[in-house]
Amino acid sequence: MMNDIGDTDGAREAQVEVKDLVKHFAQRGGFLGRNPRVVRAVDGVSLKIAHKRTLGLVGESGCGKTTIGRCILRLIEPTSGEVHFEGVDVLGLSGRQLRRMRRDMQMVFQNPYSSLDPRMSVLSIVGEPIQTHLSLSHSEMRDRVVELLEQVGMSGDHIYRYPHEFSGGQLQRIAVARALALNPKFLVLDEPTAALDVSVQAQVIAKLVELQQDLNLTYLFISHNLTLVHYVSDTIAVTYLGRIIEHASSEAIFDNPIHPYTQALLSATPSLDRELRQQRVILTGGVPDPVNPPPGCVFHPRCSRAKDACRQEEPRLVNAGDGHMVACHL
Amino acid sequence: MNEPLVIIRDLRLQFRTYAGIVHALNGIDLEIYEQDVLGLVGETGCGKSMTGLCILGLVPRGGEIVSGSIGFRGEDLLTKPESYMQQVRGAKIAMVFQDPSTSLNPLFTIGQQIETVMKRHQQADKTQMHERALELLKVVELPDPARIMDTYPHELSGGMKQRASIAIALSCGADLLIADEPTTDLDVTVQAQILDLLRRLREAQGVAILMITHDLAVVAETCQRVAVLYAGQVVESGPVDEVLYEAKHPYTRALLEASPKRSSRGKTLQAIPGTVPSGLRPLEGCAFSPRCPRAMEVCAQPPPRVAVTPAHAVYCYLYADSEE
Ligand SMILES: Nc1ncnc2c1ncn2[C@@H]1O[C@H](COP(=O)(O)OP(=O)(O)OP(=O)(O)O)[C@@H](O)[C@H]1O
Ligand SMILES: [Mg+2]
Repeated sequence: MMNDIGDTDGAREAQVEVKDLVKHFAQRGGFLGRNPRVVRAVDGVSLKIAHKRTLGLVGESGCGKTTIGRCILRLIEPTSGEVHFEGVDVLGLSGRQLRRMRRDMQMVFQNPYSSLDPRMSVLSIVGEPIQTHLSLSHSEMRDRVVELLEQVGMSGDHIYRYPHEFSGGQLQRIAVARALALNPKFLVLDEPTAALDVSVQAQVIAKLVELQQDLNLTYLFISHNLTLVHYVSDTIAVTYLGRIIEHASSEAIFDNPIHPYTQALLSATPSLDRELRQQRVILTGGVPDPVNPPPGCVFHPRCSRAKDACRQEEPRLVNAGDGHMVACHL
Repeated sequence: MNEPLVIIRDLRLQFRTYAGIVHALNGIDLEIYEQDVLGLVGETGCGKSMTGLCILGLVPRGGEIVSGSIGFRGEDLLTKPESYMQQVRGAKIAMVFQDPSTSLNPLFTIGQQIETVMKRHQQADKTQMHERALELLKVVELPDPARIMDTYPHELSGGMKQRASIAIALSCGADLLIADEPTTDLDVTVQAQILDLLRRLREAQGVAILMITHDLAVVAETCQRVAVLYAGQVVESGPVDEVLYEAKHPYTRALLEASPKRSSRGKTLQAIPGTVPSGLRPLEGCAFSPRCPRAMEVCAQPPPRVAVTPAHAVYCYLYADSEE
């Protein structure tokens, strides 16, 4: 079954493969922390990304998107599950091996205003990973930083300037330059344009697409915006409450969404397209608390078509044909 | 359409800062009609929130309205004393914010907060106020209103908090609701609920709404009319169907090209080259001209207002000839 997940290219080898990933956070709660609560942030996620492809990971807040990204890079330790990168078992790596592996896998965060240290110059921000991982002389490092800035479409003259002197779009490009410093193969882009205006978002997206082609990069593109995700993704995985409920090619998700949640999400997304401005399916309530996920299908309390089986048994992600994976009893 | 509820003319707002004078609003012209939803759209810093705050008489410290008028039912609000504006706020014009926590007091229950606002503006006894508060919570479709009356803001989800703050805003029968990015912090499925609620409130309560948003898709789905702002000026305004689907101003067009759409999947998003002016220099000509692909020499002069149709106006020299 695993071989089929979102794999529209048939024989294409997965570069990144995640199996049954689980991450639970213990949270102190109640009087004097006597009632520790377990937040089930990620609860059994499997996905695959082929080389040079982009997987869009979409869902509402608190559905575990960022946690999935962080677990894959081992910026946090998963509770259980497997992560393979080019066949290597990432979770089994020791400290030094992991450090080596980190060069290949980098992350770009949502908010460039908070992810870049305001006291560091652009040279130090972009050059820091080079300094930690490679032994280059200062002038070699500077040349490399200039090259990286030019790669993201900025002038090399900026190296002695500081974050407050830049706009949000420029800062996000600096963050991308930093992520590219060690020639990674795989980038996790966590809402990279959420803090930006649409005109600047368009610039950053165009740059990311161009870099992917030039540098043969593989992307995990995390976003809550389905319309945007479609511009960059080959495949899309829809998350709900720490699970993936549908995973297929971008076309299939938009043209033939199967899961009622995916359908509702598409319907709820405001749209500039005139034809789509008519009838909406409006869900009631919000995403449940991941401390107490509902029994059975986690979506059933908001699903208008839920039947008995949905209340009792959690559906598994299965192939509905052509690698279109869906977790739904209907 | 009838006489507008609000008529703003040549509204100019400046801030004194260490860096110099910031020209925040540079001659805003707007009309809001009774029971109409007007979208105010544009990118960060273009002056959407400041326009809303000026209408309420809540200009932030350091800011000064240097010219213009804000007509509300025929009275110019800019000439009124603060005591008058206090009566207007809540009773006639109310506001909801992006973060509902800013308009909710964490120390009081939702019921207490609604009643406090009602006491300020109306004379009613306790049971009448309680009945009316319950009724309002029903209007904003909060489940189990009797229970919600006694809950504190932190016990509610983001969407429920926004519903509660809308209930408080409506508690004195305001004629105009200014909603500043009311759904920006909410999940998509919850955003759809709140936008749907606002649409229905307009119909059921007869309230006009000024919908401030950076998202053209939200405008397309909720507004009848829209004004597009750039650098503290309106560049184009009119019915949504005309402004968004027969856009005239090069900035409106560029903004549309940069916005993700389902129908243009697979195509690329068009970035707008250049950056927004800092506001530190007074505007002379068209503020967009340095970034405009169709800029002409004449664009260094203030752009004319051209009526594309009776209700659709564009401020741009490209259309100046068609007038005569
Ligand atoms: N206290 C202040 N001091 C100086 N300038 C200010 C102040 N408050 C606002 N401004 C300026 O006023 C202009 C308009 O700001 P406003 O908050 O109305 O923008 P906006 O369109 O609401 O943006 P956003 O989409 O980010 O909310 C901006 O140029 C801003 O820098
Ligand atoms: Mg604002």
